[in-house]
Amino acid sequence: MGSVEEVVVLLVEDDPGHVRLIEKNLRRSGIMNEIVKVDDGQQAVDYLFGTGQYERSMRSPNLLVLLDLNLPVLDGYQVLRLMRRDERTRRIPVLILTTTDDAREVARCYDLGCNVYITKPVDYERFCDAICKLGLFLSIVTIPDGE
Amino acid sequence: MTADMSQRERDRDRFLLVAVLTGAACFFTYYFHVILGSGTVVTHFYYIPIILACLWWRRWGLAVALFLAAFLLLSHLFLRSHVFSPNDYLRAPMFLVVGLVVVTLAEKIAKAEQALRKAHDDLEKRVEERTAQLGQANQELKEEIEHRKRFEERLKRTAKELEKKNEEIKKFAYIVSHDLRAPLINLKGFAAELRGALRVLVPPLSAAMSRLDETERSAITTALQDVPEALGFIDSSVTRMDELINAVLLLSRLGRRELKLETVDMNVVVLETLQTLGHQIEQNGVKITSHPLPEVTADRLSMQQIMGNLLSNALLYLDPSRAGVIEIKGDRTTDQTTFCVKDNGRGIAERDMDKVFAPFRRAGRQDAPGEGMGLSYAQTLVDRHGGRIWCTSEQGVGTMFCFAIPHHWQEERKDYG
Repeated sequence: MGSVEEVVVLLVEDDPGHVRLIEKNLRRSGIMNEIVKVDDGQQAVDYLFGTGQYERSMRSPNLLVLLDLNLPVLDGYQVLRLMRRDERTRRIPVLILTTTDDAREVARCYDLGCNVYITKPVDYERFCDAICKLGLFLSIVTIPDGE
Repeated sequence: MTADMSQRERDRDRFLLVAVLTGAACFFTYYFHVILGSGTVVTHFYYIPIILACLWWRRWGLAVALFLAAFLLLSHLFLRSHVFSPNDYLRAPMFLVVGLVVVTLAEKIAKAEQALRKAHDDLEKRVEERTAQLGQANQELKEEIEHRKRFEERLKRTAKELEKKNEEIKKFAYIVSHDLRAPLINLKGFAAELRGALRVLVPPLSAAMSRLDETERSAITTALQDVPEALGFIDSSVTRMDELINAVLLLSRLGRRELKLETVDMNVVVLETLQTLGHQIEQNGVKITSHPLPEVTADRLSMQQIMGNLLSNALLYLDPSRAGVIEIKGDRTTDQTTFCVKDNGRGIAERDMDKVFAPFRRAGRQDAPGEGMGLSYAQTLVDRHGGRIWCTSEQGVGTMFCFAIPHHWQEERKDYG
């Protein structure tokens, strides 16, 4: 059972401002885990499967993915789909964190196999609140063993 | 040529026949009288050639009658042994009479035949003319139909294009409004970060200020006031943008929701809406009269939203100088059902009339109980039913909003797939 401190958070987000805000608030809510930041879908896939630029790099077996949907190269849906299709990445928890709040999009993400869907609110207080709760959530969650 | 020849052949044959019969008739007279010695002059056979000749040659046939009459009268020259009685001689004029009768009849027939032929020709000619006329009318009609068909096709294509453009615009609105949210998150987030950073800076700065001189102290104080003020404006602007984006999203969503047409009892809809607005009505002491309303075939949710919007508007724009009175009525004609909400509020100025249905013109007062929709949403919904919404108003007197839903309108968005 992977302990929560060893879990690496893979933050897949293309907007640098959002990356900064999420990181700051995660830290403020007490999450001290390593955060790996990638800014497009292809890099995320490369990290997850050890291909491309991550071919020879050290990657943690215990992962949690924070995934935005509007990404360049490969979008969030495609990343999610690829993750759920592969035995190696099928169980990695995926939390969709995005601006869209359309009911159909939410349903689509759950159908594709995401674990949680969080809408990024423009209201910053609520945004911080959401990330803080995410931090709390992460601190109590049990991550399945990686390979 | 052959027709002519057969005609001449026939004439020749007829001539021969009559000649033969005439000759035979004369011969038989001679035979019966001289050879056989009968008492009377046998002239029975004379009638055959006379009738035939008069029938075929008419006036000329009389010549044969005349000839045979003469023959009869002169027969005493060679019928020596016979004493001619008056009976014999009376037969001569009989030949002529018979001949004349036949001629007359034949001429009548001939004339009738000619008249008939002429009538027939006339009729044929008229029929031809008529046929030509009809043919031309038919041709013109065909062209007209072609023309109409092409026009209809053009209309269909235009409608299809419009539909496509409409869908594109709606999709665009949807995408854009979501994409616009992302930078807003940054704006708000980093404004808050700045505020946070300022909070960190202020205490040590305030402490350190006592060691600075007057000018520096006042400059810093001003800056410490400016920063939160600036952040405040940034914050409020971002909030405003967020509201606008949400409104656009809602508008685009309204255009895409499926309409479910059913029979809607508008009295129930009004009752429900008034219940929702109950508090506001009581608070302002507004008197509401709802006349019995006709049923309408429409999307129930749309009707609720439109009626809700009109009624909450009426409640929002009361005239403070008098008690509010709102009247709701409806009317059903053969092709549409109309509903009106009339108030005695402050009215709308002439120059503001075109802003009435424009989106975002109620900015800041979007918190009417219910959906918080503007009239532009109501317009979208009415448009989707193929209806019309309009208002008449007099400033200081009151306003009346009406919308009409046609009875037989099919939202044809799917028909051009």
